[in-house]
Amino acid sequence: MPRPLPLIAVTEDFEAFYKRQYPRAVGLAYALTGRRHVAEEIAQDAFIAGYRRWQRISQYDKPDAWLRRVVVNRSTSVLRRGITEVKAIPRLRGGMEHIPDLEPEASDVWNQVRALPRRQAQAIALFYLEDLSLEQIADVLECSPGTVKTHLRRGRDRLGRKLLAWKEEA
Amino acid sequence: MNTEDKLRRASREIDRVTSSVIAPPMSELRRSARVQGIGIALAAATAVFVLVGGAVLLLNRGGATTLDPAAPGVTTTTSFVTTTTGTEYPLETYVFPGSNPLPPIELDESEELTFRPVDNDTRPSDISQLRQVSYLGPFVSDVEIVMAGQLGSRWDDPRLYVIKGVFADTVEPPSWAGRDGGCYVVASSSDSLDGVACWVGDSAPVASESTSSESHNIFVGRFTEDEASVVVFEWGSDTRWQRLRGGYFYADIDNPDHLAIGMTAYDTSGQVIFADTPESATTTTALAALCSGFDIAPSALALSSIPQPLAETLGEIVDAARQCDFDRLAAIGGDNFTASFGGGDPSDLWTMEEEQGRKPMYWLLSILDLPYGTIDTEQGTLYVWPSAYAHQGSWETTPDADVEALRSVYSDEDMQGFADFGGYFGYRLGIWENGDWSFFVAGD
Repeated sequence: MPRPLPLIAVTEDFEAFYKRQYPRAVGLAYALTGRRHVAEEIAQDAFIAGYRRWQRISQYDKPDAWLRRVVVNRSTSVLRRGITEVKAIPRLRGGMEHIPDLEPEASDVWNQVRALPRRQAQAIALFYLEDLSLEQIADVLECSPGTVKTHLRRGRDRLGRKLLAWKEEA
Repeated sequence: MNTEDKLRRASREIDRVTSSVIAPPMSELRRSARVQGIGIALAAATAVFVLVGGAVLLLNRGGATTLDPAAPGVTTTTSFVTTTTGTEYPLETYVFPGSNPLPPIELDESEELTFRPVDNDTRPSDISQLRQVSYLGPFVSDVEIVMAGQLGSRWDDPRLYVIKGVFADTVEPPSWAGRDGGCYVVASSSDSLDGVACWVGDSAPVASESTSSESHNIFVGRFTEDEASVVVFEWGSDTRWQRLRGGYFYADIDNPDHLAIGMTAYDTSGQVIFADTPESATTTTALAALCSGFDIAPSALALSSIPQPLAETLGEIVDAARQCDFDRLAAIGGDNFTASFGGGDPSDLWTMEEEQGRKPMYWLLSILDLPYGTIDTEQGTLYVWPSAYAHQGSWETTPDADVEALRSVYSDEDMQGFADFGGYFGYRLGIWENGDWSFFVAGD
């Protein structure tokens, strides 16, 4: 008889990780998608994936980098496909706290960030919102710090021009 | 207020509005994880039926036995029916649900197909957590395979990709063989490919393996957060792994954890031998982006002989080109980079050229395998590939060694074209000695 497969042993570590990181994950997804409910769904989906593989992820040097990578990638997927709902993910009850609207100016800035090339937008969100270093962002985006620096520089430059043009149009 | 200040203020605003967000209770998360696990297992079961059904059709094109999803023991199939023919099924197929708390899936013996969990004793321990769908059984090598992968566990999910196989020449297994999740090719003889075993999982390390003296497995694929790729090899008569008439499967898949795999096989004339991937998998697909640079590693790249900043840039270029990561390539290029004399966004240009089959990434990586030359300018020294380009417009004075080096990439006809033109005008790439990437342009 085949041996039964090991089930993931969920420790309190995951719960602490989950509670500590959840709001930040929602914030990151919100910045990258601009959709409040979708942001919560993406965060929940990421934590569900993390929960199911916590035994392995908890061994990583930086479990939070793994989480951010998942959130960033799933946010990009949502944007790329124009999906308004993350259909395959069962929504968790009890977690849908109301997220207030952003101030209009902040909303405009993030709208313009999302219009940047994907990697530039991700680098900007991780740098400014998550306050990560170039090295930490490189871990999340799986590239070199030099590439992150380039994305940030180009993203900032392009964003500056976009915001200026937008302001002039307005 | 400058851009920097605006971004910091906008970030504080996100912090403000999400500060009140409370994580849902752990009990809810556990429940949802269980539901999702079952969904993934269903997808895995679906893929197994596709694999098995297709393989059986390949081998037994007469007869008519329908594998009924409602048959005893087949309780976890989804909405499609896999049709099989023939009465002999030399198959041993596994459903490997990893950590999913599902019971073994077993077909009725009368169906002569067996589904059972992989015996951990025969598999490397480090793949024990992967949700594996494997098919160990006869297969033929003269088919083209389309693997359909999707996110989520439903075949009608619109987020669907097709990974299409193409064919080419003999190569060694790619450098990343043994890393990440992916597929095995299983061969039981020295001259034929006998099976393809695929699984889905995250990017945990997986080792190559041979499961027994009669079979040879090689790890040939990978699934990461961003992409999936599969290279199919066979064990050739010269005891080398051979890529099956060359190809690779490549797709941009964001979430491998929820990937289900199906197969459609074509014979070499293009006729569909079987197409029992679910209907929606063949009608709502988005064709995967084929990357001409995939798996090409410039072997002669002499990083040690060039300035360090330049070597770093080259390393990044090679890495990005092999993945057709055009955004990253454009980022490496920066604002002063030239990809086309006509201007425009480099990412858009390369995407279009790849789609048109012009293989810019293949050419980029191929010319980096050639000797480089240098051009001294007022701005500094420019390193150019291939070296023949350093002798711009002067074919007659281009050293023989630089001309000969081109022959590994160009045909005699191409070479005659350069001679007639009076100089090298093919793809070339230039990087300043400080590491700034100056250009990668096609021929004039």
